[in-house]
Amino acid sequence: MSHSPRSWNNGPVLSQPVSLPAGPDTPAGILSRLRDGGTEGPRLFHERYGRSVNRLVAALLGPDSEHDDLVHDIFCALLTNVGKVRDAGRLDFWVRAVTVNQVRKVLRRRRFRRLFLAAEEAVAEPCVEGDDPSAHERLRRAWAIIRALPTDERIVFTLRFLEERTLDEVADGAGCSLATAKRRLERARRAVHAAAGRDVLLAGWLEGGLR
Amino acid sequence: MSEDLGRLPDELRAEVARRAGAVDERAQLERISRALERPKPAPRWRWAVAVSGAVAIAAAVAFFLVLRPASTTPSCSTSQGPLSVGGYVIAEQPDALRFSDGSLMELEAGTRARLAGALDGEVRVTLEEGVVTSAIQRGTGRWSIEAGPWRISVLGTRFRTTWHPPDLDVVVDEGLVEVVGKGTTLRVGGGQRFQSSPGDDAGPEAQAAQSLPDASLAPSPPVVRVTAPQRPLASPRPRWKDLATQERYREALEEVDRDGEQAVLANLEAWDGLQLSDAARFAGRPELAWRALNVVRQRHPGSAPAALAAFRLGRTRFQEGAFEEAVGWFDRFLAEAPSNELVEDARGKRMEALALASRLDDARRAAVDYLRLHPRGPHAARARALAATP
Repeated sequence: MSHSPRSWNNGPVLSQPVSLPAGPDTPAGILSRLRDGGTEGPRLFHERYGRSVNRLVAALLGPDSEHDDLVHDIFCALLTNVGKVRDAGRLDFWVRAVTVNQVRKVLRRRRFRRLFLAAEEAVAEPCVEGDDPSAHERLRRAWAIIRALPTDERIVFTLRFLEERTLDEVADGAGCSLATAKRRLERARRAVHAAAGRDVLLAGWLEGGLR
Repeated sequence: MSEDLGRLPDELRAEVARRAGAVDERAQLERISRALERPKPAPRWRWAVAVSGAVAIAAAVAFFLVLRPASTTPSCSTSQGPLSVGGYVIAEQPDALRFSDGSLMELEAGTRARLAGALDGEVRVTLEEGVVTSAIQRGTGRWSIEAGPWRISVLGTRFRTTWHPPDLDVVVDEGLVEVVGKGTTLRVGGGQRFQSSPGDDAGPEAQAAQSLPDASLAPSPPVVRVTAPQRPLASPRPRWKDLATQERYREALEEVDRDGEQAVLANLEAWDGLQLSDAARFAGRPELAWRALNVVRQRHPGSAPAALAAFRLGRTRFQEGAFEEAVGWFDRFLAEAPSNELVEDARGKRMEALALASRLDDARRAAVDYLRLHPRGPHAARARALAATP
């Protein structure tokens, strides 16, 4: 499976730096509106990044009852600190990096709590199309496997396989070197493959069947 | 690189898209906007804020350790006794939330509400559905009623809230309330009425200064009877189910024991029955797993969960060495769910059970069938061996 680069905000991929017109919904336009104050800037910012941040958090966390609260906190952090972004061309990257970092903090905090405080995981039920019980169960088990990965491996796995990022983007998003990203990715892939292969319900997915 | 993982990433991606697509982005933006509207200290005053914070903390510590007066947050009770935070009230007949400061929230019959918070002078009541008529004492802290996407903040008043999702109706008899929701904030005063329109995405309208001869408060109800769970209900679904979903099977079973096994089994939905059987099995309670599966079979015949229960019963009997009985359960499963993805496993186990039950002719026929239908299945090697048996 090839991983073609995909823009962070579902827009076209810019292969070369170009001079973007500062329209209201471009990064430069959004930064400008945000500097002006008022409600228009946050609205445009959310319009551009709302879907992608929700999707990234949904992928990184899996089905999770705290999804909405976390996305809320991420946007508050983004909108509070967006003034630090000087280069509008880096806004997409910055949003993704902040999102990944916020989710990483949450995952690590949860892991710590589970280890020492026996805290509850905020697991929710997966969203299934139709009412196929086995599909529900498969997804539940698949997410359990992803959740069991170490946090850093979980992040690179998600960025690569669920967000379909290039290896460079995975490394950037995870905040590590390309070599480290590859190592983590391979460990995660092997772990997921092994765990899914042991599961009678998931094994079919590995072979490309069970649609 | 993802070839090794087959369709697993595709399926997870699709699930992520479904979940992300279900997010109410408009409500999300409203919530973010509200949070950002709160005043923040200017950066250059951070040092002052830090010092003030330290002083405030010290003062708070002193206050709590030395000078702490009785709590300013009123306590709450119903006809059934004290109601703690998180307490859930289902008023089968009219009842009231009576607060220690004299404030009163009368619940009409059929009303479901929760005392969502009572801390630091703030009282929050969540109205799930029904009618609440409130008479709030002035100057006793902050009060609010939350109904779906709406929040009605009380500013010292007498008013009636009717919430039948998605319709909200607030009639203010005296004083002032603030209704917040769907991007709108409206103040509704005495003699005014607020009504949300179903599906009105453009926001609600306050129908001001309406004449409301019937808006006066009803007298205190002479008869009260409430079914009030004495412990908070974190969610409408049973707690054991949450714990089982989190794979905390022993705790889930402890919860089942607390709720009463018979009561849990009596209220078991089909899918919950399968989940309970899994939890019981993993928690080392096979007898409960067995009972849960049988409940699913008896109460939901012909359903998909009932078919899956047959498979699990067959697997259980197989593991216990009751091979003839296992064959029977696998037969039922195959008849009831012929296209289920577990049929391959069921055919393999059935074949094995027949062989172990010394029904070798039947086992050979099952092996031939298996090889015809699943030539590359995980039981194929065993099937070939059985099929070749003279």
